[in-house]
Amino acid sequence: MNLRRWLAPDNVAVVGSIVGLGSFLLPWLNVKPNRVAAGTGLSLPDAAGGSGAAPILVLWLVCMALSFTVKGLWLRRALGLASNLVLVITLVLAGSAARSLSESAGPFSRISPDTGFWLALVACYLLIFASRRAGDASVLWRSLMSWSGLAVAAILLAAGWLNSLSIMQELAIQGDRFRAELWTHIILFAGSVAAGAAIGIPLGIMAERTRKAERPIFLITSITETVPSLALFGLLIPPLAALSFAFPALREVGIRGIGATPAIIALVIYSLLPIVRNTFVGLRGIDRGVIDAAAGIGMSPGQLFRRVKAPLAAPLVMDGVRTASVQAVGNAAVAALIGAGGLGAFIFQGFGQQAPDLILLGALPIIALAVLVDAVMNALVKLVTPRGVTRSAP
Amino acid sequence: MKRFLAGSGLLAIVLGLLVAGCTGYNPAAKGPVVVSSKIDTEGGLLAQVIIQMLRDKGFQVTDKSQLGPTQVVRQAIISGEIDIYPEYTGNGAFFFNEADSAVWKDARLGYERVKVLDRQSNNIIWLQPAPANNTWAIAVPKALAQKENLKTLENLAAYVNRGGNIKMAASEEFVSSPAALPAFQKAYGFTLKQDQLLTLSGGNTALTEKAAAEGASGVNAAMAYGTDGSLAALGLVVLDDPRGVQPVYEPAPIVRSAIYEKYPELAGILNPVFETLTLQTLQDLNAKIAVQGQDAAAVARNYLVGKGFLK
Repeated sequence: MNLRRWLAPDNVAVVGSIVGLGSFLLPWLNVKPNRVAAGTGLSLPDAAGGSGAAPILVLWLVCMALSFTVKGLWLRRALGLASNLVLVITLVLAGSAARSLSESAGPFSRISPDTGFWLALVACYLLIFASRRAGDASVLWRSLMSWSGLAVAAILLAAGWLNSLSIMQELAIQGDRFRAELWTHIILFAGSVAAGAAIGIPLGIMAERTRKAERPIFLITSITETVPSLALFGLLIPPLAALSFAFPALREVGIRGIGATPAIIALVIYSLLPIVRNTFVGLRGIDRGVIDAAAGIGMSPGQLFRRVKAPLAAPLVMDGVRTASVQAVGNAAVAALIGAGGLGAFIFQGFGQQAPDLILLGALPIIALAVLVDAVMNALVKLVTPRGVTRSAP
Repeated sequence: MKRFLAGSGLLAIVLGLLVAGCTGYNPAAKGPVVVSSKIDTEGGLLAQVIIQMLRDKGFQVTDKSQLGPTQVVRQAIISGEIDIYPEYTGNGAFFFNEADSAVWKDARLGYERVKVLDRQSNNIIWLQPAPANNTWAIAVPKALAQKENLKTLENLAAYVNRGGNIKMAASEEFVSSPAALPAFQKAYGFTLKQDQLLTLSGGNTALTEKAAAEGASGVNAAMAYGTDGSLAALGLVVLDDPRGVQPVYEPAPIVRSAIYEKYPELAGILNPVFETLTLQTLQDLNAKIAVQGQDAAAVARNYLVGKGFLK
């Protein structure tokens, strides 16, 4: 039998399988006697027992085998299902192992995921990506391969299966505070991107229309983009403080030297460059022939803008808003340092107390938010693209 | 496109209103009083103590604890964004540029000085401080202390001078500020060479204590604060400072005078509580939050109920 016929390695899948098998050998759960002491790492067989470790090992080997022969639709689907299955079983085992370990390790013990666990998640992501990247005609199979593992993970999370893990215990302690900071974070980035779009899109239109406006607009927005976020926050505090002292009425409305005001102003400034630049490019990049044709059939400049230029530029403008949004989600984390709140507050508290779980409690939701915002904005871009226009590659 | 612009404009307006932060107006309750703190364990604890006492006495309190580092919180109270937060008496030396004065080494004198200065310059009233000196200290692992019989900084100086193995993890500020390590070295007669120091850029005692406890990079001594909660849990002991080198840092609630004039009963409510917060008490309470991972509000509540301040 000619082995070469079957050999069709997918590089990403091979890397994923190697990472997955490697994660099996590394420490999987870390048991700390209290929140600050150093912990001991337990490997997967030690933490979850042989009966738990065996299916995982088998699945990684299956994935490894499949990643070398992933030719054809059904083998790819099998790889996708196998990687989702590994994800689900890993989380199920982590939840139950954490629960039994915390019962035996003492009342203040903390069980956290260790290197092996995180690498296993990375491996799952690589394998799912590899199985999806060749495309699949069936919507059902596409959704199954991309989302089934994450959907089950969300259910496990909501049902409290993972509550014995240290990060969930930190969440339980923070309780309402987490909800409040999450909401503040969302308002910070959503509000600043909205305001940035309201200012940036007209600026972009102006820059495209008049040569004279183009250079100063781009000069200012480019320079402000290079200022580090914390420095920009700091620069805004003294003038705003002076302003709010000079006009006490502003303080009543909520405009003060620290807190949300400088944070939002800085975030708006940061969101300007992607939006202004994309608006400019979107309008500039419209085919001259289309504009000539529209003018030729007698459209006024206003009609030309509303019915031809705006719809054609819209996808690129929306892409600029997308970039600005994802950027703002991350930048808003620093706002906590100047008293604006948001998820960054947990990150800095975690630094202060050397509690990595508190840092993760701030960082993981920010990452999830960024991914979610990116997905939603991508859908919006597709929505705004006029029918009959194929979106050019970014 | 138009709908997008209109929608974003609406969002910007809604956001503006939310930023204005309508906290709700309840004419029956006293206040609203905004209680804040710095981003650290003890700040969070003391803020919760203040919040629970005030709420129990009928005040409407806004919880803005864990607001930011010292400069941000200080700016906030001066500009009137917050009304009360716990501050340390020794910090008066830095707020008013009097770092060289000897008055900060005495608890009573330092407190009286910062009380007068802050009232004059910023209209801020200092209430009674807690008798706990949360100042810079040097901590070593218990094993080392027992082996080399290290109880005070005098013992440490002797140990270093006879060539004992020492490596201290400390912040840049601790190593270079004339009030910190150089003051210790001058008073006790020892010097740490460059290779006996592990200098970090931030003033994070949790990190230095963890390094000393685990022996990371050969570290066996750490910069610490007197009331740190993790010390006992990490097996570290603080070395005594019998020659009184460090300024005294006692936490006290500080209030904007506008709020204090409106509600002078604040002193009567908070002073008896802060009087009970000794060094040992604060260490234990901080430990409950940092080491055991309990919620600061719950720890504060249990303490106040246990002492009979709350029912």
